[in-house]
Amino acid sequence: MTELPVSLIVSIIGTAVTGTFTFLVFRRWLEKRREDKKAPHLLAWSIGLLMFFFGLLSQVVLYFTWSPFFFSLWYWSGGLMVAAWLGQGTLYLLARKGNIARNVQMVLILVSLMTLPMTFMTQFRPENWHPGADMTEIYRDTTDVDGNVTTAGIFPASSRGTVRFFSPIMNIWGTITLVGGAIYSAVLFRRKQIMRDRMIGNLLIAAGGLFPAFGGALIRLGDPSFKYFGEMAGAVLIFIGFMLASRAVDEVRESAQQRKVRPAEAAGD
Amino acid sequence: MESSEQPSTPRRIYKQGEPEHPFEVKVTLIDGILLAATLIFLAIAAIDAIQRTGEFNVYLVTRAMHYQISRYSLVVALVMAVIAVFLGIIRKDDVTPWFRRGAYIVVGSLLLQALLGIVLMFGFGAQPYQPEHLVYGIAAAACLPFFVFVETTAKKRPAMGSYIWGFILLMGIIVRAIGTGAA
Repeated sequence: MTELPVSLIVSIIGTAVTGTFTFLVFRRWLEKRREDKKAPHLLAWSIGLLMFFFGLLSQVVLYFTWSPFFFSLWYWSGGLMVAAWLGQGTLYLLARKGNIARNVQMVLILVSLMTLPMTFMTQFRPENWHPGADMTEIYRDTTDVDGNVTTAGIFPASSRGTVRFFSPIMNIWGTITLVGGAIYSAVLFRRKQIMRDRMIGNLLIAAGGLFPAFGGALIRLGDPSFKYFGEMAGAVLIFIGFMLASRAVDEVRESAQQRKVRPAEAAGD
Repeated sequence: MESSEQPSTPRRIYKQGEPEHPFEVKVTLIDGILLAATLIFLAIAAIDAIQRTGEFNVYLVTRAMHYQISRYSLVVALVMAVIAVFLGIIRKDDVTPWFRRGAYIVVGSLLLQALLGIVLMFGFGAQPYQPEHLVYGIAAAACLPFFVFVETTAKKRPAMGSYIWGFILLMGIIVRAIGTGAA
């Protein structure tokens, strides 16, 4: 019997973990909705986690077989959407003034809808795929210092001006909102000595969001499978972070409601 | 002794919040100017295309108008973005009724632009330089309604920020659409 590689096992576990977390966070959002409490951050995070799930699921499928559908899904969800949607949840928690978070969400929806058909319309080069390949290494051309192509990738060179144009924009924006948001809230809450859970929660979300990005660095630690462990650890950290940050938001709301009720009770006395 | 000061003509200040029904069909001076300018521009673009070819060739006129409206939309989006920044950030004012109707006129122009694109593609079999042009074209027509939705449903006022985001994003999409559409 052939042994399954560690990277595949970790990807399968990661898929199951992110799928479960997506369900739990989405269920929490539904519960809030039923209670007439607005929690758009939970919806944004569940979309981000769903994208994480789709990315990992596609990675598992692409390990065994070539599929343009799953390759498109892998790139669109894992490469473009995850960081931006996770960051959107953090933005909902941080940007409470005006309609900034709602407007950014509209931008995000538009870009998501634009890039979806663009990714699926791209003509790939499946001859550059092989079973068991690490998709992050073969999805695009690798070049030497002079810009000459050393290894051809699945995406054609022309895709740099199309769907891949959005990759740095979405990932930089996602990282700014995720990491920037975490640092901002950490500084703010530490200075005010309040909402410790939310501060820790945001820091965990940021760390979890960055883990997959540091895949290359993890590979250099000695084993390519470390990268896959990094992805799974990222998903776990994000989930714990969501739960901590959401609990803190609930506590603040409850105490605010109690403050509103008390004067009324006093008047009644 | 009574004050002899005469009350000056009150400046028309729109109440913060929803100054009027957001989807009221009405044309006033400023949005009327934008509507008239758009219609005059379309007429000039059509006449110019006919003059250039020396005959009324539907394909060439449609293509010329598709080309001209894209540039016009870019300029109008820039002007509207500047006005939105002035009203929303400098004056810290809410969305004025004429501005909202101006945004509807831009949406209308972009829908016409998309319609011309559809006619060119399915009526005459013309193809854009890159297939992504279709996505950018649809996104340009669909962009502003997203932000109109945020603005008209916003409980937190003023909500001019929606149009600042909307018109800046629209400019980006139009630039990409122009870049992928022209051969």
